[in-house]
Amino acid sequence: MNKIAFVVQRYGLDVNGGAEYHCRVLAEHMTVLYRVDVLTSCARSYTPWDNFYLSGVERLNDVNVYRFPVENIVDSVLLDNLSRRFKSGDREVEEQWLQERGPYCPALIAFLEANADAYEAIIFFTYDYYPTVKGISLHLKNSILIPTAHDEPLIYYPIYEDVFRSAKAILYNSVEEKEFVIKQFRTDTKPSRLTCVGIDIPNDTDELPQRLQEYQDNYIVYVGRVSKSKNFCELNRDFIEYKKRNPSSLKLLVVGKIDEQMPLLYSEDIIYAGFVSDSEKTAIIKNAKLLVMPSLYESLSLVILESMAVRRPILVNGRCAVLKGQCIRSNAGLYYTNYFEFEACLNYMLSKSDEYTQMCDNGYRFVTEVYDWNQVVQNVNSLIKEIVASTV
Amino acid sequence: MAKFDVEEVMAELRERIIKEQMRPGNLQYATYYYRRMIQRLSEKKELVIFGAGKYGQGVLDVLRLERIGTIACFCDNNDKMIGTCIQGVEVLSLHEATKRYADACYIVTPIDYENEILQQLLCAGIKSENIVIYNTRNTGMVIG
Repeated sequence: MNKIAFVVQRYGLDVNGGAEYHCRVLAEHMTVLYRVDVLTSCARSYTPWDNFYLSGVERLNDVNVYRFPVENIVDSVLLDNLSRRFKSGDREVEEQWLQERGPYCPALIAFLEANADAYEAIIFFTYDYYPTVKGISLHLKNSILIPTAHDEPLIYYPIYEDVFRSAKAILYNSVEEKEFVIKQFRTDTKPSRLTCVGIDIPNDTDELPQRLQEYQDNYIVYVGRVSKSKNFCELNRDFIEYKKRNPSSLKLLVVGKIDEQMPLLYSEDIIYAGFVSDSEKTAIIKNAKLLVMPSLYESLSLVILESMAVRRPILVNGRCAVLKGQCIRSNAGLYYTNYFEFEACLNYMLSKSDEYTQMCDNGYRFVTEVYDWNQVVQNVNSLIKEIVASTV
Repeated sequence: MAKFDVEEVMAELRERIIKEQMRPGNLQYATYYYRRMIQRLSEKKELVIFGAGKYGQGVLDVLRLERIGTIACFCDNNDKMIGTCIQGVEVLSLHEATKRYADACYIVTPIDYENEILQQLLCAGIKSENIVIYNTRNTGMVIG
């Protein structure tokens, strides 16, 4: 069996993060065709990076995981200072910034340099961290980038021009991501494919955890990091305003880790369920009226696909091109760009039962047609074969 | 049963929002600063939004929701933006904007560059009573 490798900043069953989870499920599914190695850091946390896992090799769900130590821990003050000096285009400042941003794992890069030819393809996850930036800059003939890019301030840093230029091929998560990356980095001549993740239709229990049963069928749900970067503050504010203007017993159930120093507005209508297991998460989504996603920066939201997979419609922030695009393509929910639209969409979805059922069915159909794992694996494999053929 | 279509429903909902005259100033989270600002801008005959980026576009959205329809153009220092059209509003250079709209009220939107822009506008001959610094962070409208 031929070998492929994934390079990602963190990897593990208990690692939080959409891109890291995406990497893990894709790596595991690719084991049907390849021997899969993952090259990653020893970190479990990224705020700051740590060396939680032991360095060395571990076998995890048929994947060989090679972990390399993080050599320095982020100094946030220094990183901030470097970020301010970034616009100067000084290469030395950029290099220092990248190391500080981390996870700084020079041993991973050295391993890659020595062993790259042993792999049919090396798939780099996320455009922005040290392992991808330094790894892809080795100009490997078999590099594939899964950028998970979106229109955020970071992507305009000059250092990332090289990342997109050096990648031999690109796997995009959405039409909007592809259009944005092509416009920004002129990558249209590179081999590429669209859709590199699948969704399994869960067969887990429908039953809500005991502690949440009093809210059964009477809540909308947010699943994700409770952080400013996910625009949770806006949802927090909008839901409180909604309840003042539309009195009812409806709750907002919040699933996910709350970031430190996160300013939360108190409301007895917002229930924090904390971090839950995958099966609990599925049950919570299944029992919700709908899933709401306020995030502005996404290259793909797996949780909205998971919601569609259990026939729950979505309400997404229309100021995020990817979420809006997925909403329109799936016809499985509505999108808002300001408070009044949030209120109008929510009232519409809660009151129109026929249309609600159609949204549920549309979402399920969309996910099973577009995000089927067999097709995704073949899609990724066809790109690997294309770059292998081009290097012979 | 009618077939559900996201865009059709969104158009219907937006129409209803306009018809029902929903205005951000009526929301509880709108600050006193915001309400005063909107009142002041609604009294101006012609508005130029300085900054066609994220904050400027946010101001355009808000002005439209508040039914303030006297927006003449955007004005920006970024060459890449000049000559483009954002949501139906033209983006002009400072030189062109001040030539065409010398008596308009200029709304300064970019955060952290207020002083530089203020200086630019004064140097271009805009009267100080026609310059408004719109600090989005103080309005309660946008988080972060």
